[in-house]
Amino acid sequence: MSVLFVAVPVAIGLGGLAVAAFLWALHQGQWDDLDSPQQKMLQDDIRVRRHARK
Amino acid sequence: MIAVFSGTETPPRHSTAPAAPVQCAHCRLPVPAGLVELDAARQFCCGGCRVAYEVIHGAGLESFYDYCERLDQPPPKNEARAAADFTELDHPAFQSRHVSVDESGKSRVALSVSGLSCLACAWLIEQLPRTEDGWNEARVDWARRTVRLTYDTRRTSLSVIAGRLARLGYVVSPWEPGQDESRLCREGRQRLQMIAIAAASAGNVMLISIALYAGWSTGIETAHEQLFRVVSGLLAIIAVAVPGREFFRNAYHALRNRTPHMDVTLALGLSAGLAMGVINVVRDSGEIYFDSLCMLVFVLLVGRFIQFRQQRQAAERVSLLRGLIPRWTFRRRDDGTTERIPIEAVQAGDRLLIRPGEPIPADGEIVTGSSHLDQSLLTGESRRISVSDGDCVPAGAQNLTGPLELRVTATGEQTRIGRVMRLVEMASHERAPIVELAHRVAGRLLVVVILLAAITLFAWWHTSVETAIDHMIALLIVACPCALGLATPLTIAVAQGRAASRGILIRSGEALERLNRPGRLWLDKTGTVTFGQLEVRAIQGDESVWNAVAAIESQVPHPVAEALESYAIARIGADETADRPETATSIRVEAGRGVSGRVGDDDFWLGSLEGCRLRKIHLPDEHLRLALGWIEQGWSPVVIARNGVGVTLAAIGDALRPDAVDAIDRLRRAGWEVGLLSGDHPEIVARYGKLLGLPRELVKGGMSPEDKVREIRTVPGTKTVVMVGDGVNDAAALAAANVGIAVHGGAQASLQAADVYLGHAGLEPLVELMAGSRETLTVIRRNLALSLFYNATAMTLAVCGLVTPLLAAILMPVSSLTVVGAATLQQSFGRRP
Repeated sequence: MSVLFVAVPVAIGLGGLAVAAFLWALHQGQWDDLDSPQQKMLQDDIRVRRHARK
Repeated sequence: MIAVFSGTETPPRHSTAPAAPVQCAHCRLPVPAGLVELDAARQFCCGGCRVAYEVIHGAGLESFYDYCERLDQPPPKNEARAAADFTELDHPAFQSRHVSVDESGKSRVALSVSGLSCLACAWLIEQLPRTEDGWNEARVDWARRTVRLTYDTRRTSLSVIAGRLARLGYVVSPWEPGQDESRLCREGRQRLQMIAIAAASAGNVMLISIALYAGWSTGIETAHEQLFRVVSGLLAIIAVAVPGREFFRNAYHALRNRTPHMDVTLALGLSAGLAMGVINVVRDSGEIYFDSLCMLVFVLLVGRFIQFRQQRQAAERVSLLRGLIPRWTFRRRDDGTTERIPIEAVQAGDRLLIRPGEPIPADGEIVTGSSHLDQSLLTGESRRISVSDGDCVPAGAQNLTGPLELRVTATGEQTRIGRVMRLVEMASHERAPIVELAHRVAGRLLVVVILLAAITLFAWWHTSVETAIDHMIALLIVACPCALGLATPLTIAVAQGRAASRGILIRSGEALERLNRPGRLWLDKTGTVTFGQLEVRAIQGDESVWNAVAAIESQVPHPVAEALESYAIARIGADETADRPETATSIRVEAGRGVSGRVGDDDFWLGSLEGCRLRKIHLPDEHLRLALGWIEQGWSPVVIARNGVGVTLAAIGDALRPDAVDAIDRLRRAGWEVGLLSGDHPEIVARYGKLLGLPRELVKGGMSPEDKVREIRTVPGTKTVVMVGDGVNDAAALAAANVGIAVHGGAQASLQAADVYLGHAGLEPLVELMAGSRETLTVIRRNLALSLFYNATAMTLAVCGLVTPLLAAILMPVSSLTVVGAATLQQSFGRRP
């Protein structure tokens, strides 16, 4: 008897978990705005001088 | 002295002003000469910009300016006219409707925000919470122009936050996502969910298939082979039954409507392939095509998703009415006192008080008061009109000079502007969708596939029934137009991206296809082919009159007077108070002709040639000839007379954009019938038409928004009608045209109604758009040909009985990749035409 009979269903099951994780994130709204995040990542290299007024 | 300036130059400033135009420290626009402070380190073009600059510096966010510089986008001019009072946002009625509060006391609200011009603005807004106590977070959703705020109600309030944003020029307003919005959001999630399932199935089935194909050459245990076949069969059933459902649903509708559709071919291939595969798995012999089927579903769903996103962009039209009328107004109670009420509470019959400088919130009749109105938003006409008791005033007009009390006759949707906006919405719904090229092709493909299937079955029948059915099903599977579904959406998506990097925002991909059938192209005059601003273009005669001109015209609210005044001030010098001792007395305005006044010991009169004739003012022959020449050029001459003798002549005009003639020439060579459609006075429009060399029947002035829509609809046949414009008065026309193009600097409403927005001023981008859309369509056609070539090859092999599951599994992705490559490498919108 081969290990494949265990390994293949396990692998498919893990794949299913990944899909479930994606669907969870999707319903959290993480994929609703696909335009802003790609641009926001460019903004971090500008430093902010904190609270000049204090 | 004669000084004639071409349209591109600004008139020279007086020698006391600095030679180079002074830039505003905030928005980088030139500072008007009158506002230049000689010894100040920083110059501002207006109070709004000064406030914005001080807020940004006070908060330590100077890197905003570096950021803008890097993006090559100057900060937006701070034009927030509304008083910084947002108390109605704290009103319980508003709060309960829009704001959600969680148990820790944090409030969340989404508001739409105007004034965002580039990413630096989004950055600035997101940094602001650091400077405000109790304001936790601001997230800008760039695509929807909204901002999500999180704040602590106990430490700050929404009106304070809104005030902060307004000081920087970003004005928030309630955001009410339409039903479309939430439906589209749900549909987007649904589609991604299906893509995820299809992708997981396709990936796993492919891995398993590789093991099976490897087994053919090296041998494989029967038990393993059975396991793999069963598992991939189960995954394929999931892929076809869950994400693939869409194709069957579409095919069902297509069959019921008897319209051939790409999805009929797909449903045929998918169901035949799946049925044969399952039967072959059960009886444990024969070919299976599960990998190709899953792949097919996945690739097609990705193509559809790209297309869906394009359509969604095009469908995002926010309520147009909102930006034009104020959020609150003053109502006079019966007892004579006044109260501030939100705009929703205004009813017909109410008495409203409108102060100068405020927009009019509802259609009404003036009870008391007289003033001047700026209706340019509604009619496109730049002239101001004077109103008094008994006159009707429309909502959306700007009250300029005096306080008005009016009795409301219509509110909201019933107002004239409301009806115009409904016209916009109706026009955009009624637009007939074009049948996509890909679907037309796929419809014909279906007939070919069914014919070939019959031939295959018939040709192989004599060998054995089983072989014949095998070959026929192989044919049905490879006939599925996989790459065809990708070709159009992908090409358009890439073209949109490339166009956006050149400042051309294309909202609907359909526009690109439509622009390839040149028909009629209507241009709005003001702001599109001209700069949209009245200025002194040329002068001749006595130079000593400017003090008097400034003194008189400063008291007259009229665009021509303003143009003369600002020119006169520029000539006198930078400092308007110190250098202008003279004041004008006994000012009399003769409507439409001129104005007279007394400055010092002299009587002055300023006005048109006609007024000059009526008043019997002596005008030197030389001046008269020059004035007539100016009229030919589209300028209006103004005579400046001292004590009854014309001494100086000034030309007032809106300058033609320098690239207009050349651009229109090129558009006409590309096959477009170019015409002018303007709300301005017919005579003025006709002059510009002549300057641009347009045929007389295509130059129309004095058009109301409704007239424009009617004019656009009269063009018969399949040719594309394009409208290019910028004002609210163009919005309905933009929506009614096959392709509406809004130009740089246009009103919000026109942007909402347009399919394409040109981010750079002038007509050059229009020519670029036309060239780019032509190239894009070429790439689409090439991609369609490539994908059909794949189907043709594969079907030929299938008829000959040469298709194996491995061959199908290789051909399908190869064809898709070819199309992806061709779409990505396209050159459209790459270079200047």
